[in-house]
Amino acid sequence: MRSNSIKEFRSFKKADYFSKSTSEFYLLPFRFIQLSENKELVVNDLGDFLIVPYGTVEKIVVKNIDPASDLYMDLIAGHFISETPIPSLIDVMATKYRTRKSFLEGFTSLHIFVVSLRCNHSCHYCQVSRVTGSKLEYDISFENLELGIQHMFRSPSPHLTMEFQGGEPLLAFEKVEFAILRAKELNKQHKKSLNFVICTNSTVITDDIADFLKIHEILISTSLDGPESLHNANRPKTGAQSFKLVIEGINRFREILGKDRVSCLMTTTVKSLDYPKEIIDTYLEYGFSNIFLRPISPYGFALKNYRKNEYETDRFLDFYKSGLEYIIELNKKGVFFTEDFTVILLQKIFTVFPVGYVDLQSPAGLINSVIVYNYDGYVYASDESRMLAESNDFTFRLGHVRDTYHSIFYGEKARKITDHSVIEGLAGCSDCAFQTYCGADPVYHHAVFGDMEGIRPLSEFCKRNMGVFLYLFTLLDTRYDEVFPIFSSWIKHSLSRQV
Amino acid sequence: MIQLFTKGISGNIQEPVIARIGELHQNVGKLFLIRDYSDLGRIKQLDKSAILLFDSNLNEELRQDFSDYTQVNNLNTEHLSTGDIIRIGTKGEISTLFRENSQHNSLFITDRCNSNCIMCSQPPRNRDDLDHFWEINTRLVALIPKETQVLGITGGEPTLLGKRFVELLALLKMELPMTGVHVLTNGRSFAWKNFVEALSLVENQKVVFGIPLYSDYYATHDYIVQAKDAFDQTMLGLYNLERYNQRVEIRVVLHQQSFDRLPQLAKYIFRNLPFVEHIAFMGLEFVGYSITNRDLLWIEPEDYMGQLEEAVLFLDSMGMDVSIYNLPLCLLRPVLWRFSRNSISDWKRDYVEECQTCGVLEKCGGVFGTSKKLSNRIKSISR
Amino acid sequence: MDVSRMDESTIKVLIDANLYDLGVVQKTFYWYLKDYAVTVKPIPENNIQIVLQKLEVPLTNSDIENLIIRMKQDLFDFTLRNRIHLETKNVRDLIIAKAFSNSDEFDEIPPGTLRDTVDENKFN
Repeated sequence: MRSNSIKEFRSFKKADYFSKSTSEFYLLPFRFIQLSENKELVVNDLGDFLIVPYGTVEKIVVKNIDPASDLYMDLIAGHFISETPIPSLIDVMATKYRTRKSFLEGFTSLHIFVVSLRCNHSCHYCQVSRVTGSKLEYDISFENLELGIQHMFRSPSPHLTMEFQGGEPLLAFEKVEFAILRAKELNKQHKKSLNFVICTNSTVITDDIADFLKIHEILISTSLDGPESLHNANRPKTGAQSFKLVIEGINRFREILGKDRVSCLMTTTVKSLDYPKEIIDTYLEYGFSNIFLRPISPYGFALKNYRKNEYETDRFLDFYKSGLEYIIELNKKGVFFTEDFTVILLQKIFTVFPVGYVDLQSPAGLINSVIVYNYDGYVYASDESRMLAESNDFTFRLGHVRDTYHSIFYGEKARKITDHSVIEGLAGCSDCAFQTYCGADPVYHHAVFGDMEGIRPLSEFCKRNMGVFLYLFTLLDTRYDEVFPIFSSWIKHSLSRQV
Repeated sequence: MIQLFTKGISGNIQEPVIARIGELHQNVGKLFLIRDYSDLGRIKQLDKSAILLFDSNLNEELRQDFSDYTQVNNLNTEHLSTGDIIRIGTKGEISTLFRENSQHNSLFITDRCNSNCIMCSQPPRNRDDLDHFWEINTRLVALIPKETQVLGITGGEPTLLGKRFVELLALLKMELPMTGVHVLTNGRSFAWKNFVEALSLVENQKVVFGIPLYSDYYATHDYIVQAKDAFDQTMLGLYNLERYNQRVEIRVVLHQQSFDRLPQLAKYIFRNLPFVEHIAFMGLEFVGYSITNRDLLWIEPEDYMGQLEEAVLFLDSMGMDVSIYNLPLCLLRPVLWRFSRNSISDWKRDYVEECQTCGVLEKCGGVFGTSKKLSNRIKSISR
Repeated sequence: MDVSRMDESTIKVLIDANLYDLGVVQKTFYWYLKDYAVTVKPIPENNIQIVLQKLEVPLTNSDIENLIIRMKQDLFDFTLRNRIHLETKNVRDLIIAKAFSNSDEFDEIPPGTLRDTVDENKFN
């Protein structure tokens, strides 16, 4: 290089020399919603978001943003606008998009085996169980179990979770035992990471079962609905014993397996809605540091008991909000306690990492993330799908374990379901600011509307998720300094548990 | 401050020598440091291929006996010690290339650079020195003790070596398989994927790339590094490094042009670069171009402490590993002390008079002895 | 926008199709399905006619006033959404194509050069 050009190269240039900023910028894909009287939220396909003064979106669209403003820099850095028609970091954007959708790469990882429909409990919200009935009729056969396990190992996913459900799966312990031993045997060849979860009501534990659970490092998921009166009221036939039995079971499992291998699911019923604090306090009292404030699902027996279990989504949202507020207060006092639905949403909002939560994925998690092998050998697209089948709706039955892997997982039915599982293409969702964080739920919408897409303005699924998203973003806008330290500690905790 | 260069009078040095200072008493090595004549007998027994470094305090007459040895005499040897690897030029110039007892050794690759950062502490030069330093470094690497924990690679911009940069990583893997290698690079070259692919084939998992990102807004970054497209190149480079499973650290220098959007930068890093294993926020070493551009750069750390705190605490709260370098504790808010590291190279580290009475001196990384301007708010802290 | 009452629970809205795209109008009134039976159709002289029939209690005059405010706001927002969609759909398609491509065929050539003062660099 010549000396004058060296001099030019090494001379210090002013800031505007490096700026390509122009009032003629280009828009990148994003969606928006009004948050409050004077704020709106913009979100792009990559999950980047900004809370901006109301009216900003209009200014962006008409290209009236001061290139020297912080807002302009925020919009460029957040991939909302670009100074060139194709943004210079489009490959970075594509990688972020791919990362968000990377749950698709492994394909089905959660394999649910319904080993028996028999149960020793009778819960009025229960969707499938049979208290009476013979083993022959309501337990899975060894033959079908074997075929299901073989399908499981045909999944390309390097991680497999085998989950046993019922009924009460431990009533068919010989099937659980067979399945786990067989899976471990086959995994000597396949060398996948393999986990086992048993969903049990914790009332059926023999010494043999205890030994087995310990040896095979099994995770236990049990049910605890809240304080004794509420928990028992949800199980009218089982009566006053249920709560006591569950707590005894939890303690027993913890002794056998260690505290962190036992988790609880709470089912929200109409009765629950008045007791968010009491439910959380019960979880605290029995040593849990998390809860999932779940809405009740509209399937199976619950549909028949619709009147009894029906409640307004508004009431659920109030329940969720007061529960979350109470949990925030606990955290402010130094008690680490998380609300799992919030954690899932926060991780979707603040990180690019996908969250393995079937109900908030697009394409929806059925088939590509979860599959169910039912007691009768039929294969369903999700747990809710087999519950629908109990009311003779076989829309989501993909086949029988005797069928080929290809016909079950890639057959016509699977393809049809997938076609309706993509939120990006659903009416009402395609323009929604929360689309990036939300998901499609074809089973729910089919159950309620009779078609897999449903009508968004009438969908309780939509109303509930919208309500929660709006609430969380409002918290982030109006009470950031108060809630962010708590939320970030939850995100950090959640990320540290994933690999 | 420790000196890394000295000059004496050379005798019989035909071409530059790179060697490790040996242990006279155990007769290990061929290069010996002679500060006294207590072992005169042993010195006399050395064979004629030995190279001798005579301290300037030594008796001239006695030294005459060794006049036919290759040597440098009249030398200030204060900073030299056994185990050091030095380069001796034909005119008696001695540069220390490696100090055994230090954690701050580096291979210096080049003075060339394709950026021109407004705060560069060691401004680039415009001559082709790649072959010159390549020769030195390849010889040096063979002499470095295998148990060395960490070795830097620095410049200038080391990746200007091109293919030889990949060779260097392979050489380090072979010669120093246990040594952590810390490369300081602007990362721009990594935007070209074939380059990253090539260096990933070396499979040296001991290598960490320390790459600067000064803003989440491209034009601010490009202005600070004085290179168009640098931000985009560096971002693409970071993504390529991730794609090929390379280890990355982000480095942010704190000054008047970079402090304003530190909180946004922190969020940008978590959102876009969550794979980086460490983020370092670094106080400015006020030397080199910083002096030229002092009006553009100088800011009292106190005046950016709010932005720094927000950025550091955000990244920490999300589980990222964050450090603060080069700022004495007295200039940091106590909430940030746990992020402070003893980062200033031992040979550059200094303390001022106020520090003598300071109650947290032993926890403090001090200041740059090289800086031509220090904060006037440095003060002793009572324990 | 021209709003007229048809009966105690129904109003008719006429919108100039030069101002609002039919797709925008359809997307806007989709969300009114919660409380209204809705029909949207293009009619002669480049107008769009929307009929809203309230599903429950009769429609009061103040309901209509609020409805007009809401409709204007919603039409405006969906117009913005439509403009964003139209301007960005090619880039979105490109991002998705790149994201799901398993090869480098869609990768861009990096911007700029790596030149310093000595020579052209070898990688580009």
